[in-house]
Amino acid sequence: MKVYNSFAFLLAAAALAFAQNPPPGGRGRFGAGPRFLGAQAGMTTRVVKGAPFSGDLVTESTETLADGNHIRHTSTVHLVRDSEGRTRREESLAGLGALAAGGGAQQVVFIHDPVAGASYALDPVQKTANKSAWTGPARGVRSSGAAIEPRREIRGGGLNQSVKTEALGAATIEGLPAQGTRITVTIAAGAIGNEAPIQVVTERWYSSDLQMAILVKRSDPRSGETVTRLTNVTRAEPSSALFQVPPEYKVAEHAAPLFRPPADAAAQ
Amino acid sequence: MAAGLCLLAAEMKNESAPPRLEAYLVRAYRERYPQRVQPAGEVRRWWAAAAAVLLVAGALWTGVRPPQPPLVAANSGIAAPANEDQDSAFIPLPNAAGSLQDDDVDLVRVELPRSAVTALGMPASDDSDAETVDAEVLVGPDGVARAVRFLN
Repeated sequence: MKVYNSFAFLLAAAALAFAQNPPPGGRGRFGAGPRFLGAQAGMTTRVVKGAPFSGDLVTESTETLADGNHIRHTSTVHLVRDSEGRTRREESLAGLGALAAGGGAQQVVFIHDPVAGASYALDPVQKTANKSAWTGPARGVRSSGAAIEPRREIRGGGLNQSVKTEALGAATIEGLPAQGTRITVTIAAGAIGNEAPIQVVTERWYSSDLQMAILVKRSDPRSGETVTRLTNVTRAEPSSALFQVPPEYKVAEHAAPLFRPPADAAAQ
Repeated sequence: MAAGLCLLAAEMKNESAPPRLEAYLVRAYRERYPQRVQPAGEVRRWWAAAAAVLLVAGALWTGVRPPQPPLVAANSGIAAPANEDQDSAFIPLPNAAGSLQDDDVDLVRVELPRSAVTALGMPASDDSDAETVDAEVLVGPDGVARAVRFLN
């Protein structure tokens, strides 16, 4: 009977503790908004060396509904890169858009370290780090001076569409010289059941100094408009501590890489 | 001699030991090898305790389980691990294109209120009483969700 009572007490205590501890993410199990369960860093397809910077990547999207209503979302990512090509991204769940309705304050940090050969997803609330095996860039390493814009293919073969590319010249954006390109994809009438042609316009401003696009505007009548811009840019070398897991974090490791490069990229 | 024994066996075929002898042998065996017979109520209590332990362990494991690896990452140039089954594919989200580097994605796992499914314009299953749904979201380098996959 004594043993039985001990088990009953254990059951009651465990149930009480389980009910009182709020789940990670800062809200109750059935509150509004998403609850963060975990994260895992994926593959980096491109490592840029010799072009350190830090800045905020702000994305604003506006979706216009058929009745004229609008859905707007804004997300900000703090982006850091050092001379060795290590990157760190600090972001919130707000970037999940409609999926983060009513919440999204939870922060997530992704570190990609080609030098150490590992990637991490950090949970600053639970002080945990999820380590992934480094899969390496699939499309080679760019070093400073090799200002080659990544090749961007227009996919969707078989669709009756045309692609027009225009050079927009040079401009200074956020204090950085940039080259502009406008790509207009026209989907012919009837290609996807559309009565009239559909035009998807993407305007990209590419910085050779940072070797990345620093302003992208995209307009698609099917999904709305999206503007992504890099702001608050600093060219100083960031602290190496930013690319390391803090010692108080508990690290979990995945033995096998989750993400593999696509077959066509791996063959290059 | 063998023939004589066979004849004796045939004559004693219908003979057997008296029931009293059998009872005596059984009693003597139990005295020599005592066997504890548990009362039925005690057995039930042990089973109940074991079930309680399993219940507590299961609840705790469910609450603190680490992130599980994604199964399939379609539409993003990402292949699933070879040893994983393909339960369901990721669903591309509106405004997912137009990023700075489309090929780089990370994964975030969240528990969403079921209303978030309908907010995306997707039909929520009516045959589930769950208020929440677990989802894996592929996030681009701009922090914007590219695709989502619902796990339950």
